[in-house]
Amino acid sequence: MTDLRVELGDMELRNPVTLASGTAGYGTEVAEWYDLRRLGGFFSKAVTLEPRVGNAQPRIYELPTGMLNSIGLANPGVSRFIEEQLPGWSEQDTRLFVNVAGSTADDYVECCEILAAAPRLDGVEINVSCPNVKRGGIGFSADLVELASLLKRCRETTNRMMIVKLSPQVTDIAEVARVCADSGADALSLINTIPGMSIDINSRRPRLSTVTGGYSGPGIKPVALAQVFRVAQAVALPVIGIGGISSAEDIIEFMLAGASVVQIGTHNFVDPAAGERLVFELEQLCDRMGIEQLQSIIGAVELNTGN
Amino acid sequence: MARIRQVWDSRLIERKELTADYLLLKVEVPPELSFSPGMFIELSIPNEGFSLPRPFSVMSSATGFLELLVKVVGRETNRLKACDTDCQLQLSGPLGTPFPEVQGELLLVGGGVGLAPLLFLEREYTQRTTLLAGFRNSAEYRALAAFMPGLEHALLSTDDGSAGYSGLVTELLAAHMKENGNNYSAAMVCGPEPMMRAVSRLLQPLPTWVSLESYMACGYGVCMGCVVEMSDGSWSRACSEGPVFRSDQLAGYRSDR
Repeated sequence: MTDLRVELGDMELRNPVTLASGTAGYGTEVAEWYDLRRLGGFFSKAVTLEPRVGNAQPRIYELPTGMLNSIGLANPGVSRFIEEQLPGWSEQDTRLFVNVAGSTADDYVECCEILAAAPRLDGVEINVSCPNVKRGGIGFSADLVELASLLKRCRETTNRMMIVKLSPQVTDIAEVARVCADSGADALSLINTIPGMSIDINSRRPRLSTVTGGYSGPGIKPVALAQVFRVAQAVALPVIGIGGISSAEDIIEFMLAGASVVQIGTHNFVDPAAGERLVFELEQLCDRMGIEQLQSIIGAVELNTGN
Repeated sequence: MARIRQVWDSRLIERKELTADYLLLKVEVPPELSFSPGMFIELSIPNEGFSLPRPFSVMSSATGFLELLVKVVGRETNRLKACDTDCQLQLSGPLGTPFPEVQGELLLVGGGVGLAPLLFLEREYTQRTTLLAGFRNSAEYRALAAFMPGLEHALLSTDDGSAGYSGLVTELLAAHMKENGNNYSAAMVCGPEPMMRAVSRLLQPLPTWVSLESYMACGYGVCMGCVVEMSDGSWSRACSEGPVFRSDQLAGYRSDR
């Protein structure tokens, strides 16, 4: 029986399988399908300082290799999250991280301050990579001076784990990762969705109300894997791999590239029991592959060609 | 937080092609699951590539199987059309909020594939019901009625006048309400969105519930892709708070809003 436990910095997770922000709500709906204790951890849908209704319809479009979305960070706001969603988590024994987003640096910081006073949380995931909001979001990944300032201010609000969620849409993700490391991040999660577009050629109209949206699903997996590899090589921080994971093999692949933990995203839409199923399949795959300690394969990609 | 839903490996027990674009599917369901009228399941045909599951309203439910009426409209439904008996499927459910149980005689108004949940309701709920059903033509009506018990009692309209009232089901409804409007305590409606909006406005102030169709990714309340606008300006998830909504709570379903 493989030991599936992994370390994320100084935190232990019972396995590397977590659910990605925005693909599993605040946990209530997923708990209707399986016991959340099966998961290594859970990343909440983004919360913002004030409630957000999100973008107009249509918000989603299916593609042969994944999907586009432009939900626009619809959420009830951080205060209602704490009042209405957090109490249910007292009985859920799995790591819980809250994804934090905002339009301005002040929004992020105030949101982090409010969350710092809330019980139960294991950490925050600072979302500086949402492609579907007009202000903030992905903008923070592009300006490294602003990013450093934002992260240092968020860092001051909490001693809990601070994870920074990165966009692939930057010139050099290793440079962004180094700025995060120097600004107090404990871990990095990547990648967020890739900006994407689809047009109905008959009506000539974009498929999404926001014209472009975020592309996710199996089609982005090679892009995500390359970015995870690059970041894991560039910084000493633990990396959380995200992007098109839909099988136990995908999880092993991301871990070999350097991910300590992975997040399951779009696959939660395909299979509501994806988290539980992938933990089960990962156990079986590790047994077949003779992996005794899953932790040992993190970053163990073999780069020597043998020549 | 409690486990009330399941994902299961299912089998296509029976598949009937009612017309070129309507399929009647009988699929395996775990015996412990029960479904109410208006609820739906998500269905996918396992394959190597990526595809989101598709939501289908339940037409009838018995221990161990469900019947689904499928309108063939796109890639996944065309793949279903090509499936043979015993084909492996992945299903999940039960999903959605069902039609409420309202006292008194019920008026049911349906069109096309929207007839499925109404026929389920007619069988399942004990109240007296009258069903008004719209079809394209008499051939479509006969093809569906042969395998969908309950349709033989419906008041019909056809677009081409080849059976029943000639014209839209909304026109048939307007005429019907002049004579029988006082009989009903509530109406349940399912069909194309313009029809449901027109019916809701016409029936006002009769309490009316509509079952919406929406493009969905997850079907269980997490993706926020299927939201519909409510009359108070908020958004609700068609998959979770719906698909059945009281029409006066939806934006655009009342004549004064």
